[in-house]
This record gives sequence, structure tokens and C-alpha cells, in this order.
Amino acid sequence: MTDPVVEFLGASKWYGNVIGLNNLSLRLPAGVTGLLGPNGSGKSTLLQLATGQLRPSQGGVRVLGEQPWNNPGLNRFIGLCPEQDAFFEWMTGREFLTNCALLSGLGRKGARNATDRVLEMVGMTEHAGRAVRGYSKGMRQRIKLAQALVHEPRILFLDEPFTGTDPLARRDLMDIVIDYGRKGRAVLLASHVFHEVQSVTRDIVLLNRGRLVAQGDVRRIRDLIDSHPHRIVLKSPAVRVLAASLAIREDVVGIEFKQPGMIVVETRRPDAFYSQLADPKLQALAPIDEVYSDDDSMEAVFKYLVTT
Amino acid sequence: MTTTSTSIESRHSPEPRELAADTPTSRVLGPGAFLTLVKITAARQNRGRRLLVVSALFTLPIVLGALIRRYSESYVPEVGENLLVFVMIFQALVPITALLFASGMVQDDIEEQTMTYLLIRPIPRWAIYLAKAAATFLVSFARAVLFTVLTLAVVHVGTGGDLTDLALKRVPIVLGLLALALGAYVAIFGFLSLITRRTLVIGAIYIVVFEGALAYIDFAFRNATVMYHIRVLSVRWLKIPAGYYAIDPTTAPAVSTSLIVLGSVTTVVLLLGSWIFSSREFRLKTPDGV
Repeated sequence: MTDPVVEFLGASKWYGNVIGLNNLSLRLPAGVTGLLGPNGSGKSTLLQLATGQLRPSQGGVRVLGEQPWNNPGLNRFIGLCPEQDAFFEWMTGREFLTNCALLSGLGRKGARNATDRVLEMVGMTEHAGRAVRGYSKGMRQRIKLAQALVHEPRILFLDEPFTGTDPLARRDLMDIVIDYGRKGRAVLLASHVFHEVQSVTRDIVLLNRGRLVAQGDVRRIRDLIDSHPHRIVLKSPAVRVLAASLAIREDVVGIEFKQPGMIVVETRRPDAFYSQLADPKLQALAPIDEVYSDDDSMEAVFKYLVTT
Repeated sequence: MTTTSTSIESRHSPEPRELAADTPTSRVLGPGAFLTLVKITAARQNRGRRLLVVSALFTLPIVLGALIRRYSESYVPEVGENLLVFVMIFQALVPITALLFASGMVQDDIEEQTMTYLLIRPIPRWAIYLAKAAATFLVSFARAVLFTVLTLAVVHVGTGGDLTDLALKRVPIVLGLLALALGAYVAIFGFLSLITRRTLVIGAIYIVVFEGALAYIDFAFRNATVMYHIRVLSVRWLKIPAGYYAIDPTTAPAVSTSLIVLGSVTTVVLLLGSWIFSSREFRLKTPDGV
């Protein structure tokens, strides 16, 4: 195996009596790696340890060969797209990114150029002059990813970067992640949605309850997951039209009207289902505002994995 | 539990050895990053209800001054100045302003979950804390200067006093005292906000008990209060009657002593805050909870 870019050496993290990460040993080389796990599995804890926000309770963490806790010099090479939907809301998108670039040590001119570059990359140049507080969820996710890229880090940590995005934004953001990995950088993408991860990489790490469950090629995990119906939540203003359009598909095995404007679709072929969502005809018929995976099916797979 | 593990050696990874070779060496904080931190913190402090509350409080001495001048039959500017500037502003509004701003200088970024954007940058944690303290001082000092100068103008302008002396001597000294007091209070309350979540309550008790009551009592403990040394400097520099504060000029500390005490308190408490900030984990809420 090639030298690891990120390494966990029997690392544990607990918060009082709650275990966030349990004796995790992991070596991640460059390229894109997917970090999969249900809510509470320790993905965010892992990312916060790797980015030096938390200190391991036991064991060690190495990023580019250095321990990340209280190591600001290392942060020049690290980019993090955090999960929380938080910003300096009063700033415009451009101000936010320029400030992030300045905080990363870029000079004024460099920060301006870097801001223009990442705005273009995430497709936000047109909206850069608007205050972040007025952005849609998809725009906020794009800007959040941009701030992680603004100083061209060599390792990119992404925590649920596609949550709440519409299908088009999701595709755009995935392409950015794939391109970044192709440029020789390391990307660790944390998500609880298997098919998001599968769309950007074949190499995955599975976590559950703070433990490493599986690591390796996506196909092995996929075989396990495909035996379970996958539940996908869709939000749309024309939810009944959308349901009618989807009901005729053979891979759809169930549709549940959960709340006004929201349905949960069960499918046995999530790949095909996701790719069909970006279809312009479907979008014209019933625009989809938000797509995300219901946690239950993932949880079922994890239960299966940890009990076999 | 079974761990399913497949090889990841075969992945078409780029050159990790090349990546790892260029490990970071420079840990120097650029002035641009520090100033950006100051700017962001100041911009946050300049928004919200906190600023409105402080502005409303600081208009009280101005309004009172105008009312006293309008309705007092035997108006004496020195008495008005003492009441409005040295009692209302220095004893009450300055520590309250410092408390209101300093209590949020770290907590705001935690509650609004923006701390992550600061912690993941190549900036030492102690510098983040000092930048936040600097911004908090600047914002609170700017408010205090504006309203104190207005109060002094309401008290003195049009009374026949020497306005040149007021503008060139008295006002700069008053502003210097404001800077000393606010610097110390921002350091103290910023530190307090790192060690307790009830900064406002404990800070208010501190202001009333220590800076209010104990600073008046002629006992050794008053030497440990910020307010006592500010009063000593007021008496020595501005010739404020020492009897107002129960201070005996013959036994009170010298100017240099008070300056050293105030400077030392500010520096030591700031360094202590920086150390705590550097060694603390800031766990932000995530939907995962873990």
C-alpha cells in the first residue's frame, strides 16, 4: 500500500460516557475515499479529529505525517466542508470566500483571484454579490464547498456536502469532487447516503457506532445494500404528480406520502432511480426541491454487516 | 463484530508520496489573516441587539445631562461631569459594555457554529483569541468614545469654560482612561466567558460586588479592582476630588503603580484566556450528535 495521507492509529474519542470513535485504525491514501455510516456512526468525529478540531482521547491521528491537533501549519494543506449549515450570514458569498482565503494566509490579490476561481468552479459567480442569508440550500452548499477549496488544499474533508441539494446541484458538486481527486489530491467524503458516495468513488470506509465495519471496494458493499429496498425522500411542490410519474417505474416498490410536499420512495435500483431524477422531462412535470436518502435502509445494512 | 476488509492497494491513486513530502514548515501568522479575524469579529459585534442595548444605555448620560442643564438652577459643570462621566459612564456603562461585548466574543461563534471556519485555518488558536479580544475592545471603545465625548460636550459646551483645555487635555485623558478600563474589562470578561456559560450573570455580580462596592471601601482588597485604579488615575490626572471615591491621595498608589497594575491584569488575563482557548476543544453541534 502506498504511504497514507491520513492515518488513524487505534484512535478513540469519547465525550464523557459517549463513545464517538472506538479504537479506529485506518490508513487512507490519496484519491477519493468515501466515508459511509448512519447518523451517529462517528463520521463527523473522525473528520474533526483529522482536521485538528478535536484531540483523540486515546491513540493517534496523522495527517501528512503530522498530528493535526493544535497544528495550525498543517491547516494550510487541509480543506474542510463542515456539515453544519452555518455561515457569517451578513456577508455576501464573495466576501465570505475572500475572508476565508485571507484567513488561509493568501494575500489580498491572491484572495481575490482565488475567490473568482472557486466561484466559477462551483457555479456561483452570478450570485456572488448576494448575502449568504438569502441563498437557497443548494447555493449554501456550493459556497460551503468553495470555502474548503479556496486555498487549494491537498486534502479535502467533506462532511455530507450534498445534503439538501437539488439533483442538478448534486451532480455539479459531485463532478467537482471527482475532478479534485483526479488532480492528485486526497478527498475524504463523509455521507450516510451510499449512492452519493458510490457516484464519486469506488473506495469506501464503513463506520458504525464509532467502529470500522468495512473498508474496500464499493462493489462488495453494494451487493449487500442492493438486497435491501432503498428509501429516498423527495420534496416537491407537485408531489402527487411526481408520485404518479414514479409509480409506473418497475424498480419503485413503494411510495409513501409522509408530509405535505414530501414523499418517500422505495426502490430496489437506487442507481437508476437517482439518475432518472435529473431528467428534464420529470423536472418540468414536477420540480424536485430536495432529495435525500432515508436512513433506515442504510441502518439495515449496517445491522447486517455488524451481525454477520 | 466482523470487519469486512478488501484491498485498497489497487486503487488508481495519485502520488501520495509526493504529497506527503511537502509537509508544512511555516507556522507564521500573516498580518492579513489576523486583521481579517479582527474584522470578522468586529462586524459580528456591530450587529444585533447587543449594540442597540449599549447605544441605548450610553444615551442615558447625554439625556440626563441635557435635562440637568435645562432644569438645574445652579448648574456646576464639574458636578455634572463627575455624576455623568465618572459615575454613570466609568462605574456602570464601561464595565457593562465590556461585559455585553466580551461575553459573546467566543460564544457567538460557538452558538452560530461558525467557529469551525476559524479553527481550520492556519492561524494559531492563541492568535484567534487575541484577535477576537482586540476586535471586542475596538468595538466597545468606539462606542464608549463616541458617547463619552457627546456627554462631555453636553456637560461643558456653552458654560463659559475653557473649551480648548477641554478638547486638548481633559478629553484625551478621559479617553485614555476609557481605553485602560475597557482593555482590562474585555480581558476579564472574555476570560470569564471561557470558563462559564453564565458569563452575564457572574459578570454582573462581579461588577456590582467587586468593581462597585469593594472599590469604594478603603481596604486592601480595593487594590485588586480595576475601578479603584481608574479612580486613582482620575484623581491624579484630572484633579477629581478624592473625597468622591474615599481615596486618600497620600496613601493611594502612584500613577505608575496603577498603570502597571492595569497593564499587568490585562496582559495576564489575556494570556490566560489565550492558553485556555488554545487547549480547549470546541465541540459544535452536528445533526449526528457524534
